[in-house]
This record gives sequence, structure tokens and C-alpha cells, in this order.
Amino acid sequence: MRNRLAVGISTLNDKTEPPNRTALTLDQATAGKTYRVLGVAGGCGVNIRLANLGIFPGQTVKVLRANRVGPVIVSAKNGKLALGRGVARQVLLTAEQDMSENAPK
Amino acid sequence: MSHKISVAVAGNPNSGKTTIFNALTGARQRVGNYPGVTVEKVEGYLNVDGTRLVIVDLPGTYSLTALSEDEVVARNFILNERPQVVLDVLDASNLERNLYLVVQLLELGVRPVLVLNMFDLAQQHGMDVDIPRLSELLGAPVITTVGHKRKGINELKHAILEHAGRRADSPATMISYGEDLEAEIRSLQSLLDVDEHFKQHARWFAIKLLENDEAVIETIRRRFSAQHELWDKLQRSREKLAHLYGDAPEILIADQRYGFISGLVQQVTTPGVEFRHDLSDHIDAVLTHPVLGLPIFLAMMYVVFYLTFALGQPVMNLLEHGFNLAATVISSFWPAGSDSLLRSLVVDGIIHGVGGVLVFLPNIVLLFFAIAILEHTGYMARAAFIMDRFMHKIGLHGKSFIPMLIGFGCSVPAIMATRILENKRDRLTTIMVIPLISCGARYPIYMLLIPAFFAPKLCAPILWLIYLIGIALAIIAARLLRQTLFKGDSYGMVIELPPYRMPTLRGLLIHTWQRGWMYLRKAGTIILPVSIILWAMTSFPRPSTDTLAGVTDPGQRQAIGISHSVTGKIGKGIEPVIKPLGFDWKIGTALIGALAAKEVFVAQMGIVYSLGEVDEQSGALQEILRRTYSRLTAFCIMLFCLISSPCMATFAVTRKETGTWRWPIVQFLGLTVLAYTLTLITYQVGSLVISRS
Repeated sequence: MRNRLAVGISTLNDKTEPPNRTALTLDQATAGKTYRVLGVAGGCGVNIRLANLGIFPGQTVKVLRANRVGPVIVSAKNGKLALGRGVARQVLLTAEQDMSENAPK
Repeated sequence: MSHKISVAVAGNPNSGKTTIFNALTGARQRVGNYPGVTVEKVEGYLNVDGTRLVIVDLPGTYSLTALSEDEVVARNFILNERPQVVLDVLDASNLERNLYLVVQLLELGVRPVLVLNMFDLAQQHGMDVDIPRLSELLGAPVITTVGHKRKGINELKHAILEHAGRRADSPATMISYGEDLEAEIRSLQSLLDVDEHFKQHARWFAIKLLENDEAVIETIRRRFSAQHELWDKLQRSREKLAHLYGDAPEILIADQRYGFISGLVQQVTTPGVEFRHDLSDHIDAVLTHPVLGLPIFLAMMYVVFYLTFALGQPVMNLLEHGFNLAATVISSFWPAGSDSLLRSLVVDGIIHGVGGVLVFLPNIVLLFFAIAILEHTGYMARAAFIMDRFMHKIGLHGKSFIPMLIGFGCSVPAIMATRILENKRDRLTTIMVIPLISCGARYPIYMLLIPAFFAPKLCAPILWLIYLIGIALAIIAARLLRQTLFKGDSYGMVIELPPYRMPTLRGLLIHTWQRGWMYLRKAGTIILPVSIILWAMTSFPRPSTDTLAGVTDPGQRQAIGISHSVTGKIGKGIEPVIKPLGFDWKIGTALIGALAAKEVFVAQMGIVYSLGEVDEQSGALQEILRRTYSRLTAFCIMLFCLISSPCMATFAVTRKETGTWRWPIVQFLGLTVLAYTLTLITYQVGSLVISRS
């Protein structure tokens, strides 16, 4: 089992972060890009609901649609999900510049 | 039938599970309720080679947590009812996520029969599955099917028979969760082992405890007191794991499951093949477009309602003629002018009473059919996507839209549909406001009053206005409720957008029938007896011959008859209360009847005004109403009926869905008070405005 980074905004301030990584929440993501999940904040069982659907730390998600308002559409485990904006805000992602489309899930 | 086998069908929503269920059971199915719970239980049967398969369609779920009632129902059914065969229907093009449920079933000690559905689609995209290897690795038979083409169904039937006959010789495949987790699982398991209740599935319970599963915790708490060392051990285990891995144990467990699945999938399918449903994506580019999405959705809604009313009208006219014909024919069995009670009961009470209601069935069925199309094609999820941001403004989310849409047909299936809302507060709010959405039951009232009082070209706009008022009130009420009674955080929407699919006519008809049947059943079990009771209350006690002596005009005889009756007395009793609303005692009696079911209003008005007459009902009734009441009163009647509680069936289903008497009572009282207040204001202000002009 892998060791995992503690989830939270504190990771953004961690000075040991590799320089080319930026963390963002799903509602800030760009459509068409693929990201790796850093963590999901816990409130009201959101983290476990998303985990059951394949969104949990270490997994990749592809953002299909992220309009300025309204839910975000992502592809996780080859399934298309619409996540309400509030839910999207709970998902912390990292944009890895060298992320390619064929990265294993 | 000599031999019976119980079968449960599980699977992800959108996996084609229900299509498989329908393919197996056809029309031989019925909808009921799981005892003690509110989720609909769909059960059917099939006879194969002299054996009867009793098949239950479990709710579609992605997993078996305790976060939604669907999942709890599904797993309780498997745990408690112990079906002999469990089918898990998988969408072959979405193998990994669909396997998640399989893993959970295996953990439950179930050896499922895996149905790899929509297999043609997967093959078209170049996916190649090593079926024997998959079957071997999971220790479960695998049948490939194409549900909507009925391919593989025969093989499935025989696989079920074969599997039922087989005894469990080897234990089901188990996933190892890694050293640390396994250590904690084992220690919890040993503590649970001592209790007979949990011994058989001790491992599953231990895993669920670590997952913080509320339902399991509650179940175990009943047998293990709060002081028991189990809870302390559990706490320490969870803390230990959280500390080790920086994340909650339930997330780790999910991670491990997917890890296992990932490894499994790599062994049985062509590696690296991942396909997207391109056509669906292209369609979604338009339908979920930030600018185009909403107008397209509104246009879609308009088409749905327009077609419902437009196509329904001719069928309704046909039905109406049919009922009138029946009334005339049956009346003719008695000599003209006869005072027969039986004739009155059959013609006035039953045919006009219930018939007046069933006439509107086509509209409702058409609406349910349209909604079924939206659901089966997959568009409904996109509707939830589009509506989400507006729903947020009233404290709900996109998924609440779906039950509300169903509410335009009938509140009863609409309230049942709220089970897709995981958050209790969202669910209760939605249940409370669904009655404000003008359901099919009020339609007869509008169709009676609007053409009677308003010019033809005003008819459609007035109808529109009534519907809009209902929607506006629902929105305001939802917002208020979320800020007061049901205050608190919402979970936010998480919904799958399935690939667009072509619905099968069969599936659509079955689904439409299931909902339409609820409406019909209400007609039969509530409206019919209530119509008869109201007829009796309006016919008895009869005035003595002395009282009627010298009165020859049938209208006058009728008026005297009614004022002597029970209904008349009650109506007169409440008249002072409803007078400020512009209502008289006759409307009062109709409203009382309408408490049972809104359609009864029309029936009762018919009875009160046409008792003793055998004419073409609606035309004559509309004439009388126009002569008797003002436009403002007519509008107030519609307003009152719109806002007040739809029917006893709504009360009953709210009671079932919320599990308590509190909410249906609050709903009923709240709606009645609101209806009274708003109608009062409307009538008083309206009268003032009219008398000024």
C-alpha cells in the first residue's frame, strides 16, 4: 500500500512540493484535461460516495465539462459523472504537466 | 409447480438490469413494497423446465454502503431473504466500476451469476474478454447478454437453474486488504464471532465496522453494549489506520477493492483498450452546453407537456363518450322518470363519479410514458445536470427535479421516486412540496371550470397560469423549508450520466404501466368507495313525501333532497368558514369529498347538481356552474384545489416514505392552511378590485 499525502489545504503550503505541481479543486479544473486526485474532503460521506465510484486519492479523472456555473462532468473508471459544484469543490486535484491520456487508471 | 427457486437481480443503475429482468419475467411482474421499507419491490416469475423462478429486481446500486436506502434495501434483502441465486448485471463497457458491486457481493458471502450485459457494444469497440478466466478468477459463472435484443437470455435461464442446484463447494473469492487492514479485520472478527447473529458473516461485519457503516453499527450496537470492548477496539483500529495512511479506512478499503479489480481486469481483457461512447459525448457537447443546454431543455419540457395534452385530448373525448353512453344505456333499464335508488347509485354515483375521473387517465399515462422515454434514453440525468444550479437556489439539487417532474402526473409515484435523494433533508423537503405541483388529479377540476367560465382563447393561458402558480409556490415553499424546518447542509449532487441509449418499446410500456397502475389503483381503492359514500351521504336521509308535496320542478325537488341529506348538512355547517373564500355549501361538500381524492370534487359537483338527472353530464354541469357562480369564485376554487393536499393516497405514501405520522400531518395541515389563506386573500382582494372597476 502506498503512503499518502495528508489531505488538506496545507499541502498547498508544503514547501517540499515539487515545483511543477499545482493543486486545485475540481471546480477550478479545465475541460479536456486529465488530473490525479489528491484527496476528497469528508463532509456528509461525500468522500466515500465518490470513492465507490472510483474517485479517490491516486486515481485519475478526466474533466469533460467545467462550465462557469453548474455541475462539473468528469470521467472516472470509464463512467461519466456529473458532480454538483459544491461536491466538486471538495475534490482536490493535482495537474501534472506530463500527464498523458494513456496513463493507467 | 414442483420446485421453486428464489432469484435476486442486482447491478449498477444503467447497466440494463431492468431490461434483463423484464426479459426474464415479461409481463409476469408486479410492483409492491418491501415490508417495512418504502422502496418499491418489483417481483416477477418465470417457469423453466418445470421449475418456478421467483425473481426480485433489487434497486440499482453502485455499492452496498449504508448511505442510501436503495443500497440498504438491496443488501438486507440478500442478507435476510437469502435468495438462492443472485444475478449481478454488469455493463460490459464499464467493467471496472461494475465489478465494484461484484466485489461487495463476494464479501457478503454471495456467489453471484455474472451477467455481462451490453456485450455487443463492448465488442464493437474492440474489447475482448476472456470469459472463462474471468469466471475462474471470481469463482462465478459468467453469461454474456445483449438485454434489449434478448440475446443470451436462454443461456442465462439455464445458468440460473444450474447454479441453484450447485452446492457451495469452494468458498467465494476473497480480497486481501493488505497486512495492516487484515490485522484489524481479524481482531474485530474474533470479537464478533462469539455472537451467533454475526458469526456467519463476521468478516463482512468487521469490514463494514471499519468502513464506519451506520446501519451495521446500529445493528451491532443492539447486541454489543456501548461499553463492550468491541467499540474501543474499533476506535483504535480506525485511528491507527488513519494515522498510518493519512486517510479514512473506508477510503483505503475502496482503494484496495479497485486495486483488486484493476489487476483482475488486466488479466481478462485486452490491456489498454479504453473507449468512449463518442456519439454520446458529441450529443452531450450540445445538450450540456453552457448556453444551448437550458433552452433545449425548456423546449423538451414544452414538447412533453404539449404532446401529453394534445394527444390525450382525443382519447379523453372518446372515453367521455363511452361513459356517457354507458350511463344512458344502463339508465334505460329502468322506466323513464324512475326514482330508483339503485339506478341513482349506479349511474350518478358510480359511472359519473368514477368515470369522470378515469376519463383523465390517458393524459396521465401519456405523461408517464414521456417521462419514461426521458429516463430510458438517459436524458433525464442531463435534465438533472441542467436544473442543478437552479435547484441550488432553493436549497435542493438537480436530482430533486426528477420526482417533481413525475409529480405532474401523480404525487404518489413522485413521492416514491424521492428515494434517489440520499440526504434526508432534501428528501423531506421534496416530499413536502411535491403536492404543490399540479398533478393529474386536479386536471378534471380545471377542465370543468375553465371552459365553463372563460372564453376559449383564455383557456390555455389560464391553465398555464395555474400550473405556474403551483410551481412558484413549490419553489418558495422548498426554499422556506430548507431555511427553517429542514435546515442544514446538503450533500450535493452526484449523478451518473449514462450513455444515450435507444429505449425498447417493451421497457417503456412496462415502466409506464407500473406508474399508471398506481394511479388506477388509487381510483379503484379510494375514489370508487368514496364516490359511493358521498353518493349515499348526498341521497340520505331522503326528504319525506310531505316535504316534497306540491313541488313538481325536478330542480327544486333535487335541491330539497340534498339539503336534507348528510352532505347537505355538513356543507351548511362549514359554510360560514368558507364563505369568505367565495364558496357556498355545495362547493363545501365537494371540497370535503375532495379530501379523499381531488377528482372527487368533479364527481361530487356532478352529484350535487345532477342528482336525479340523466343528461350529458359535463355540458349541463358547466352550464349550471356558470349560472351559479362568478369567475372569481371559479378561480378561487381552482386555487384552493391546487394548493390543498391532493388526496389520501398522498398522505398514505408520505407516511410510508417518511416512516412517521408527523410529516404527512404537517404536510396536510400546512397545505390546508396555505390553501385557505391564499384563497382568502385572492377572493377578498379580487372582490375589492372587481367592485371598484
